[in-house]
Amino acid sequence: MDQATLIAKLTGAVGADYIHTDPVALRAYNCDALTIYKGQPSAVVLPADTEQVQQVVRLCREAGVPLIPRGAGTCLSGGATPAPGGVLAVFVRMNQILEIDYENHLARVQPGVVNLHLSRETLPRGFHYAPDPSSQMACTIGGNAAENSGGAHCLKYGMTTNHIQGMTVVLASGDAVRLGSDGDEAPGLDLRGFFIGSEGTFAVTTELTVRLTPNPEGVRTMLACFKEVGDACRTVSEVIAAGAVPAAMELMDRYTIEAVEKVMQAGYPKDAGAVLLIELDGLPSSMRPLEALIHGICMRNACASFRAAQSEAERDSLWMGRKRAFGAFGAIAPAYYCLDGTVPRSKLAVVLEEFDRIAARYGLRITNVFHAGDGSLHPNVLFDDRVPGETARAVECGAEVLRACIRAGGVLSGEHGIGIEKKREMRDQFDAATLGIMERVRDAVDPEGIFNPGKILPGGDVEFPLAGASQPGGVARMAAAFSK
Amino acid sequence: MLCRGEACLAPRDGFLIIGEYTDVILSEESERRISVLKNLNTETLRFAQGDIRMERDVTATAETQRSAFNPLLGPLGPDREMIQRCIHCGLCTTSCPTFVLLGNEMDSPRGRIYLMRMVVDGEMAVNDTVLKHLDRCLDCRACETACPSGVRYGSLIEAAREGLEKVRGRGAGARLLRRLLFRWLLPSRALLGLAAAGTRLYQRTFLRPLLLKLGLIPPKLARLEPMMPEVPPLASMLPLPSEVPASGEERCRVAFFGGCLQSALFGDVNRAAVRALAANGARVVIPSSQTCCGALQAHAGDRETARLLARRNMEAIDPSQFDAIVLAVSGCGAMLHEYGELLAGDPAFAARARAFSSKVMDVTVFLSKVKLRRAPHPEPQRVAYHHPCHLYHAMKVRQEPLKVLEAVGNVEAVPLRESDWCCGSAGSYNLTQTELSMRLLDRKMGHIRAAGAPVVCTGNPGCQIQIAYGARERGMELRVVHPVVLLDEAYRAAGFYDGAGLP
Repeated sequence: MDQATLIAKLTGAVGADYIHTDPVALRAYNCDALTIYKGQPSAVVLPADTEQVQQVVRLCREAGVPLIPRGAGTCLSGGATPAPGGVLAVFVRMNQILEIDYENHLARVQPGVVNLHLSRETLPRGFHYAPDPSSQMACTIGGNAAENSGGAHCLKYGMTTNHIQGMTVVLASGDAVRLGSDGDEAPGLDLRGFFIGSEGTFAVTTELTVRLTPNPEGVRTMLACFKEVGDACRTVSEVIAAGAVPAAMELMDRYTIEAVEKVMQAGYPKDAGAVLLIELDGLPSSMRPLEALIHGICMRNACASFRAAQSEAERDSLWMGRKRAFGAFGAIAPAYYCLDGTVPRSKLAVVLEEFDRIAARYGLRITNVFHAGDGSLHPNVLFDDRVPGETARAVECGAEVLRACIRAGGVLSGEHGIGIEKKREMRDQFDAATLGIMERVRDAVDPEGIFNPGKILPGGDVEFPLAGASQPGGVARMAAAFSK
Repeated sequence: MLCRGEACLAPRDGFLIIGEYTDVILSEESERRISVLKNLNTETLRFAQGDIRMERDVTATAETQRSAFNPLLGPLGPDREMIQRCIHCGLCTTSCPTFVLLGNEMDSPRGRIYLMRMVVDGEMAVNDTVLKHLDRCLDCRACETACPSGVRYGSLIEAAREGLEKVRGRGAGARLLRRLLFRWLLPSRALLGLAAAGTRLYQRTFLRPLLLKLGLIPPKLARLEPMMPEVPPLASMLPLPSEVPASGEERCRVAFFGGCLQSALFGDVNRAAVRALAANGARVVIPSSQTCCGALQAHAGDRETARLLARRNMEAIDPSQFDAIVLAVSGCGAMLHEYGELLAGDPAFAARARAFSSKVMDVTVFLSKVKLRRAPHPEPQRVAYHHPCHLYHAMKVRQEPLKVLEAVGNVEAVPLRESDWCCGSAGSYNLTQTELSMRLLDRKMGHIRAAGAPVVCTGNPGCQIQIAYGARERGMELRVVHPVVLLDEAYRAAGFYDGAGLP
């Protein structure tokens, strides 16, 4: 099937209003929130239901053209960046909450439902959807499932995989199958577990049954400020070692505090070297002793100030700073590259020192804001993408950071997924035999490699070019190059 | 082959050509690849360095070409540093009404900034598709509230629209109409009064049924005609007195800004605001040489006129003479609030514009800063409040209007879903993008119906006209009113105005 026929048939499948082939539109979709790699699709479709998805899958397979699923395009590892020339299926129209079963604490949703919208809908009835990535105001549950997203409260409540009971997926054959079950048990192989976190490389999800979590009876949010980031790290490690599991424990370093306070005044002290945002939830009687324990540990580690939010507004403000910290980096640097390596809690302090040394070596700045409770780091390499060569240097610096995490006994990715971004480093993390198993599993599910090629596993022939310097004056510089 | 048209070159691995370029000669191999790529519907062409030769001195030509053809470049174009602040995270998307309606990345704030970025950087030429997506933006600025990086999107889209006017290719008639409307009609109290009087004549007499029946009104206008608000009696258009003393002890001195359409169509709101200000100890000065604020012009890409009017308003009102510059129309308020930015590049006015803007205040903000006198409304009121975008997202005025309503006793505030969402009025959006505007209005009216309040309060004439139209269309009994009017009614009933010579 040639390109024109494929486009015509796709148009027939989803309707002329819901397919884009205009060059301007295609460029708008050439990356997700990781902007350093680009890949331009040949068409973008916005299917309305499972049947349309099935048709799109069949057509792509017939034409031998890759199909890439995309939710809100907030992925930080390039999961929704299309393989060049592929067809991008955006789930923005499949955004209905189909059914809420409060009795069994379940909701049946389409993949394009925005994470926060489900919690907002169920809040009045005393429930929420627990996984809370920082992008939850925009990201979709389908995308969360593909990436097995985490979030601040995953320390206590678990990652996305712990909250998805069942899902309907469309396989490369075009068949729609149901994985998992609506009950608590699903006999046989745990295929649901296989597919969650496969980053759209196995199949396309068209429906999910997710767990709803009852809202806690009470919440206590505390802010502990430290002069030295190392003291904050030790505090984290000691709190968990003492057997306390807060609902969330987030660390922000000096640069992050600077950026956040510059943009939104969340109430973090500007002179602190690090702050810990600690949240407890549950019955007040159970939180009181925990708070005393945590307070004690903070004080033993040279905590400069410690306060608990006195109102819902204050709590929101403290959290807003954390949830929007990444965006705030835009205020202190022209571009940033966010990584998400994970290390054992006890190694936090050492690893952060190592990051400082790496940053110095590359002449760049690295900021840290992360889910400290589970050692899930978010080092951010700040750089200027308009300086020729600096993007490539930032990527190299990032790779070094990830290798430092692996050396410390950690892993490449805590929650953002591997995508394009960390594909190369998979070889640092896993030996050939393990990678071989992963490849065989993928090939068994998607033998022709239709779904989201070029992601997760190293090798393969799909290339995503690194974005070049784009800046005013580009033409002049190029003209200069000509005259040489 | 000699390529022609708008063009751009950017250094990359090899070279990238987008669009076409006058001074580039391509090798045969490249020509062949162009045709292949064109068939694939791709406009990104990659070349090896040897593929391209230049016909003449490129350094000069490329620069001139670029500035000649790139409508978004230059000191008045979108601020490249502000564009850079967008880190493409996508958190804004769900707050954007057009993205939620259409689902297209290009119709989201992130997508639009990306398009602007590519045009500014010369990687993409402006074509109809670019225009379409940038034109669909409401400029409601909900994305600014959502943005974690503090991108001031409004300033970007308005600068882009100013630049895009250069390449739009409007017909002479359309250009003349714009000029008449923006330069002559809106800034002239006399012409606007005449137009209002004519419209009232049309609405109140046999003219309307006659003209409609005879089909003498062009179809496009006939479609928009029902949206027109009922023009009030001419008495309400009379100018306010030049000064109104405070009733009781004078605690401050404020300048009052009326706004052009507001004065013509909602003169009663201005009168209510002035009375309420005076009743709360403000001496209200209404400088007569003030004119249209320039907001509609700025939103529609005519910032040149906006700057002209801004200068006139700053000559009319000397900020150093007043404690505040107060208005009861939030669309103008946001514009006045941003005069400092609008005239930042004008050495003669920059400092004064900053001082001016820092004193601009919505009437509800002013009232919530003073010790506001309380009075019960004579009739119990159930009120839903709709946030005008430029008050909520641009001026970040969120709680103050509700505080004013709280000061009016006998008012029950009814929650309204998506009350911070655009109603679709958005300056002249309901006229230029009628279909999308009506979809937004439909959504708004659905929420208003569900809220079940017989009164909707909102502080912007555009929203008032739009929501009132929505109610008329749907046969809903709904009073749409500025919050300060309810306060005024309560004050009058409580006898606060007795004996005072107020307008």
